[in-house]
Amino acid sequence: MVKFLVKRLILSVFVLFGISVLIFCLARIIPGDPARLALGERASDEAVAELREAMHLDAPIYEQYYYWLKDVLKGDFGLSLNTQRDVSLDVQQFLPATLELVIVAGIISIAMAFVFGLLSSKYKDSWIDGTIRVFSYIGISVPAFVWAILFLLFFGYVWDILPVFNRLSAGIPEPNRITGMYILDFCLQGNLRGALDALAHVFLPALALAVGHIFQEARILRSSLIDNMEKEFISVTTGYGIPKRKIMSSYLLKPSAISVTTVAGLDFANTLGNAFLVETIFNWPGISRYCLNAMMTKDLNAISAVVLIIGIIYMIVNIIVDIVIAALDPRVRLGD
Amino acid sequence: MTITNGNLAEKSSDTSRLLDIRGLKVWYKTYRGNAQVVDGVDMYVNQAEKIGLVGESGCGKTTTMKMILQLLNPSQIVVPEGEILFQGRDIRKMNEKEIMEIRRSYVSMISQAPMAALNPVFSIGKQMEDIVRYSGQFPKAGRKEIREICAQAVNDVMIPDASRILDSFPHQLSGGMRQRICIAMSLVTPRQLLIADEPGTALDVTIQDQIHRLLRELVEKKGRSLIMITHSLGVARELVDRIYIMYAGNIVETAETKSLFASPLHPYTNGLIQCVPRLSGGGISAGIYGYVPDYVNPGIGCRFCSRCPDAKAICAKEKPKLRQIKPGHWVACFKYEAPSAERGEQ
Amino acid sequence: MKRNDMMNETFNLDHRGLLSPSTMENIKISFYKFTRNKFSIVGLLIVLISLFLAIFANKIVPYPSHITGYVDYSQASLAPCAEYWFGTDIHGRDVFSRVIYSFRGAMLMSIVVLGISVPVGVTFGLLAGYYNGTWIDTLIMRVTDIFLAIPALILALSIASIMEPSLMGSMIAVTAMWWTWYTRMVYGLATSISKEYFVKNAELIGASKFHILFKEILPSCLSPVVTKMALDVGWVILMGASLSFAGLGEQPPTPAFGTMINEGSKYMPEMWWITIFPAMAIAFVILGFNFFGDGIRDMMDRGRQ
Repeated sequence: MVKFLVKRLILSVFVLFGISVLIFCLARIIPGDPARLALGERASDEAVAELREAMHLDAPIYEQYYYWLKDVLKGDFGLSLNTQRDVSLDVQQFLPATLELVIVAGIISIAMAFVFGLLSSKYKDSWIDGTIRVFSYIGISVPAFVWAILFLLFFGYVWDILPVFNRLSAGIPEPNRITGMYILDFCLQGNLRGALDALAHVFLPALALAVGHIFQEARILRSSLIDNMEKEFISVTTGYGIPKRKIMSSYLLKPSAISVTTVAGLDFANTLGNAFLVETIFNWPGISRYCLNAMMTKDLNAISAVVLIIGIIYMIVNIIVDIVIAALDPRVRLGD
Repeated sequence: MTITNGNLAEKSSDTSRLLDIRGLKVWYKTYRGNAQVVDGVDMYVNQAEKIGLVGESGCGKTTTMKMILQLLNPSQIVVPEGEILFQGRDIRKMNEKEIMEIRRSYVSMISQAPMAALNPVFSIGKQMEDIVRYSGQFPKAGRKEIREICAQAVNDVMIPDASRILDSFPHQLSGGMRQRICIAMSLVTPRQLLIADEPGTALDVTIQDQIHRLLRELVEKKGRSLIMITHSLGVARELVDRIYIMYAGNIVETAETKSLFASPLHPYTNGLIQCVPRLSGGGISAGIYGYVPDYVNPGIGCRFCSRCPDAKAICAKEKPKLRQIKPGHWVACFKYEAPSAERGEQ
Repeated sequence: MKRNDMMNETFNLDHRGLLSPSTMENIKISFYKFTRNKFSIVGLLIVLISLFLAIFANKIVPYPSHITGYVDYSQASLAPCAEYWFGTDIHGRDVFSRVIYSFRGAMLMSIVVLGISVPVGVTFGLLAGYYNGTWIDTLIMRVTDIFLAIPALILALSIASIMEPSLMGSMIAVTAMWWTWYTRMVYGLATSISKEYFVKNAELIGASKFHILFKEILPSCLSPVVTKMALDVGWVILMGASLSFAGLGEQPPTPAFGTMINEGSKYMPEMWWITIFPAMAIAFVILGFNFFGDGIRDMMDRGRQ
């Protein structure tokens, strides 16, 4: 297990290094002078020349990369064109909101996937199964940003059930910043009312991100449950008179959970990507909205920082998924 | 030479029988119609008796055995008739609770495929302990005692270092080891009837032989009954007291092992015996020509008649019944039915 | 098993070793397998409709002039009616015409993206799989890993963001990242196929590397590649719509699903038709290509007849 993890981590470091090269290349491929772009049209030629010097733009490309990486490793991504602040400060400010959003979305999708997957395999070929099947088609075909618009509209305006916009209701003070994730911060400070309010605010955008995955993952769980039900080892366990409930909840569920966990990990990439659009729709003050604004204005420092950070988040999620799979599957944990 | 007409099961007035299957038919639903895979099987097992059920792949052996434990998916099969009496009670009429009781305490089945029979994500120990825990036969045993019982069962199947084996996972064990574990599982709690479905088929011959010896020793030592399913008469000869020959869902011949080998009656049995390799040579036997018939439209006659070297006109029109030719030796074949010269030869 | 299939195919033998009926029969079997699932037929219909709309968009739309920067405020924001089936947007343009016309850009994008990225991705995958364990394998697959380590939409957005926003820009951005999935898939297949005897045989008789890669290994990889391509058409369209929704794809006034949804979302819920119809069109296309892809998979599946 330890060996497996170490190997996994070393590989991740290499990939991360690769991502940094890729991002650097993207930022330099852009036509025009990066220094001019960073300072804007109205900057003086002297200022541009000064920045060119500071960015080592006259050095060979690999040296430029070296200086860039050195700064990045120190947490210095340079100034943001939009906010005129250090990008690292912006990231600190906006990242927790996005983390909160995608984590809630991930939890909703996997939890609901298990509920619906178990239901549709238990009531296989019934109307419940059929309904979930239809929803899985709808879930596949309707993009997350459309869900976001629909939820905003119906839950937010037409029925007015859940709050839309902002992370908290008016009148509820922000929690003292510990992690920056409001739900967690409120919980840590024992403010249940605040935590629930924060949860209510994050719920709709998170659901918009999750809904496409819920039914797809449920279908995957359903088919692996049904596949495994036909397996000899379940027949053997049944033959030994082990109660049905026990078979369902452990002998069948554990091997079936492996495939759905893998898929949920891959789906998380989608969640992170779609967050860019959903945050914009809900005006969610997260890093994705920040980055999308940066993209519209070619704010390269901000783009590089956010893409790198998203790469790291996705990597961490993948490592967690690998650990969960290793915990579920001894063939992975102990090697074949 | 006596010829007795009638049903094998009817003659069995003996109530001490552990298992008594009477006229069992099992059909699988397919898109072409019902596949009549088990077509009226009669067989019984006495206390502490070892019997063999021999036939080629796909002849309904496993289906018959799975019916005993009710392991077939009820939505996929039709059971038009038949009784499965276990200690005089019909398993087919039992409710869910009673069937669970049979599975927990009376009958166990060793699967055909040791590679697929163990759950890949649970340790051997966990799987075996659950069998003991849910058998209800050791209600007072704690975690430690249950583990002891399992370790003992693993020792019984000649695996040293039981504790390490219990902590390992199926993929870490060789095929032979897994087969032994399957046997250990079936014997870990006292059950009267053990059904072994071609144990060792997937293994190489030397290990297969060890497994068979081991199984026989354990069954004899513990006084259990055994149904050994195999496609090899050679294996059956080594292991069991009495043999049922099954062909395409029918029992075609049954006798004590010695009697069967001394004078095989059914043409199919003869074919099977010729398939047993002999040291005295003679090359590879001719085998049996042709294939098992189509189960959806098996025809009304003897199911073997298209492959039978001795087939006559009647064989295609009527199904032969099991008849007793010698004490304990029954055969279903028209060859021994017609009141003609053939009988004189016997 | 696979080997056996290939033998049978070469000699036209079926599983009993008999000469099988010819190509006509094969087409019939393929058609039967494809149509066994009714959803596949629905998928095929949607695919054909989408292609038809894309090709003849300018001929069939009721208001061809509305696909440009046309403005008629007297007709603005009309709800769906007999004259304007999907209503009109805030500039008075016919939403129906604009939705239909959007099929053109969407289909063009998926054809261009897949037309370039699939051959490239497959070639890289074949090379990496065949030269398994060499530096070629390492180089190609590590680069692939890096691309796949960034969520697809984010990578596409970042590549698109450094170019001028346009349909062309979004095509380049999506093409630049899409090949990696094919590389990874073909890599896995080619690695195992390279070990098969028929490849070894070709090597022994001195066949050229080109022949081995494209005539020996590629045919065995083809069915999953084709299946994925059928499914991917829908996903490329979604990616294009996401980019244009974000403002980094097709630019107004040329209609595109994403921009229409984005513009319309400002006027929800009162003017729901501006948003809902293009959204339904995307769902229609993605669903159609999914069903179609499933049908292709059933058709390509040799195992189950």
